[in-house]
Amino acid sequence: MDLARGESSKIKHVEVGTCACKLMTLGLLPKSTVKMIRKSPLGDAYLLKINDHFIAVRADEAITIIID
Amino acid sequence: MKESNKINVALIGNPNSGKSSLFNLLTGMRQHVSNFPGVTVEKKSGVIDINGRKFEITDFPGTYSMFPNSSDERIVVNILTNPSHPQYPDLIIYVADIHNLERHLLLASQINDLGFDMILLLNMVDLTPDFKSSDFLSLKKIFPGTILPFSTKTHLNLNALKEEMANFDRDQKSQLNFIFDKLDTKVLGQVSKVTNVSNPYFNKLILHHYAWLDFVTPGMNPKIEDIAKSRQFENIKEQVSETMLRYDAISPLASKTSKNLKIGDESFTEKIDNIVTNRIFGPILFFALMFGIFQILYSWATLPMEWIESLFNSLSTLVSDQMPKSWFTDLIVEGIIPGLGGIAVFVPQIALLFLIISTLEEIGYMSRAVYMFDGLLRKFGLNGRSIVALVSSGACAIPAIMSTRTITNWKERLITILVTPLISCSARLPVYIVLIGFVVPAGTVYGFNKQGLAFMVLYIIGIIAALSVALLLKYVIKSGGDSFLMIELPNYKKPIFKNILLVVKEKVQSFIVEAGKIIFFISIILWFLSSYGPGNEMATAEQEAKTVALEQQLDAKSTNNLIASAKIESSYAGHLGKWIEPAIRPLGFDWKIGIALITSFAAREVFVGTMATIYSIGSDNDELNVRQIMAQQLKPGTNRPMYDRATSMSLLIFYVFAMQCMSTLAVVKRETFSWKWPIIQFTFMSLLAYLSSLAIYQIFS
Repeated sequence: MDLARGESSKIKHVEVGTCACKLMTLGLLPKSTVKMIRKSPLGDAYLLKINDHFIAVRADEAITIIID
Repeated sequence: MKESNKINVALIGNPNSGKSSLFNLLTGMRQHVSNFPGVTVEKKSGVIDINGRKFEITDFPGTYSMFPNSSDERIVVNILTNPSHPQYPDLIIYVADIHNLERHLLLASQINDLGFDMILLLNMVDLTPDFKSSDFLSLKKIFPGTILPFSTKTHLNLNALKEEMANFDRDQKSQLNFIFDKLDTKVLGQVSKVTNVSNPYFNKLILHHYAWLDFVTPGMNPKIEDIAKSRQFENIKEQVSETMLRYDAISPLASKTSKNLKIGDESFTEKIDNIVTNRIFGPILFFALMFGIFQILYSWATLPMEWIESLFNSLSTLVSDQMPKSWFTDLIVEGIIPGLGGIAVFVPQIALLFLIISTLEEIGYMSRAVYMFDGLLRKFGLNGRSIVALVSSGACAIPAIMSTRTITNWKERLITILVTPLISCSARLPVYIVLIGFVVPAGTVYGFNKQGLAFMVLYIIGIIAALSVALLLKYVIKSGGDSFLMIELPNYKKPIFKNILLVVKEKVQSFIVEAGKIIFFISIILWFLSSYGPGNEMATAEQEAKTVALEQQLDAKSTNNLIASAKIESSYAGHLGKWIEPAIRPLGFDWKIGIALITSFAAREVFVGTMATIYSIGSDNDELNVRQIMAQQLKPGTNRPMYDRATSMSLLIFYVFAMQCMSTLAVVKRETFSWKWPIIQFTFMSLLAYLSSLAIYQIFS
């Protein structure tokens, strides 16, 4: 996932791996909209808006999110 | 043995679904907290009566799916796959947030496939006043049981729910329609031969989780492992595939149901988060909040403590005036009443602290703190979620340690558990309050209260110590396993005070019961050890003291004090103190402080009570408070004050670092499943305390 602050995109899918199921239960499903809200103070985590709710993931967890 | 007429009801749902509110609604004050047998996760349950039928309602930890990510999620999976577990439900009440239906129904679909009887509640419907019951008919296609629009706020359909429960027939089994139907019957048939359970989805879960499920006995384990290996069962891949297929089935139905809902308030949340999670202002706000809590603690803590202290003092005086002189009266006046007072005195601060911390959690702030500090905490071997434990520890380490169950990675969780007690808990406050006056005079510097600043320094020392030890442990303890952040940030919501008050009640209660027991018994034991001595040493000492008093022609008051002093010195407690005196003299302590250190090792809270006992038992010092009495004490054989700056600083530092809480050690043992870690923790904290005290005293004296 490579979004700049404020940018949105639709999710293609989440890469199969140890994060996949948890990310899906947090709403990262195909065709959901993901918006990059901001980075954490140290830049290591992202605050994301998925459709109409919010989650936070680490950069290395976000890498597994494949967007259009 | 399950009572045949008591129905086990499990409340299950995602975190933030309103499940706990429902639990409070159903059980009210009749809930009690204990532990799931064999595991460390708190179990909240309560028994209620509906139309003459008994229901034991258990609030299960919030879970996202039957593929767990943390120990409290595992507990749900373990129980739901283990029919012989005492909490194995007859009936499940599933609470789903109607605004997040697609995600909240994943677990519900898995529970459906396990064949449980389930009442599905579509919660938080109150935000859409004209929600029509026809809107969720489509859900009935896959969830055959009762579906109720619900609101924990307005109590919509609460009575309908109770009615459903009243009519629940445990023996009537409805037909099971699998939502996930891509079940490989061949493989699962093989598993079924090992488990003796026919439900194929049950067996699929066994295949996924046989490595740690309680249901899988050592006998079953290798057989299932064989099946998995021979079929080349790819655990993660199958989990992802099942999850995707379930969502494929649920999503269209969920969106049909939710299409008429009023939009949630996420724009309000987004605006607030612009400030709260701002890259610069966010952390500043957090520290300001912590400072604010600290200020409240410092200015408000002393008042109720003084009231309670004087209350119990008057009680003591009243009882001793009314009752005849005897050892029994002494036990009550000098042992039991101070013991109870010692517990009561802490209730206001603990309640206040938990009130604040629970409110922060309830409105949704703590998840933001987890997100902002994850990066920083990871550098110390901790996890973002550790911040909850570190902050709660300012109140009491015990619930703080229990809150670490949400941390997936064992090493991160272990380090959090080990360093959390270094954060100054509310039990250390009275020690700080009594001793700070001997180190820092009253007054202000640059507008700041000097003693308040010193207070803050002590807290900061604790925090620095916690982080430093964590860093050390990061390199010492073996790594392994996955570490995650992946956290949901719920919309900010108005706190429901009933929920907060129930949490506070629960925490205060657990403090009184767990720590209270120890404090009470230590006080009694201390009274006994200071009132009695070996042989007739005490009688002899008393005689000698009387003689000396006569020779020096002391007045009545001084005579009594001299006698009291002599008696304490020759009591069992005195002997114990003198025995360790050589070890603690380099720290600036004498045998009397030694006694306090010994009693404090069970529970810090007894420090002030012990001081009071040692310095005034049998004497006439009741008008003076403990600090005033301590100010009068002299270093043995000199005319210099006992509590000079060096000794006081040394004693303070000792209490900042020392592990003086048996209850905490017991909880650590429970959470880490062995005595190894509490012993290590006790050792390193004691060493840290001793060496720091030594250094401070030698430098400043």
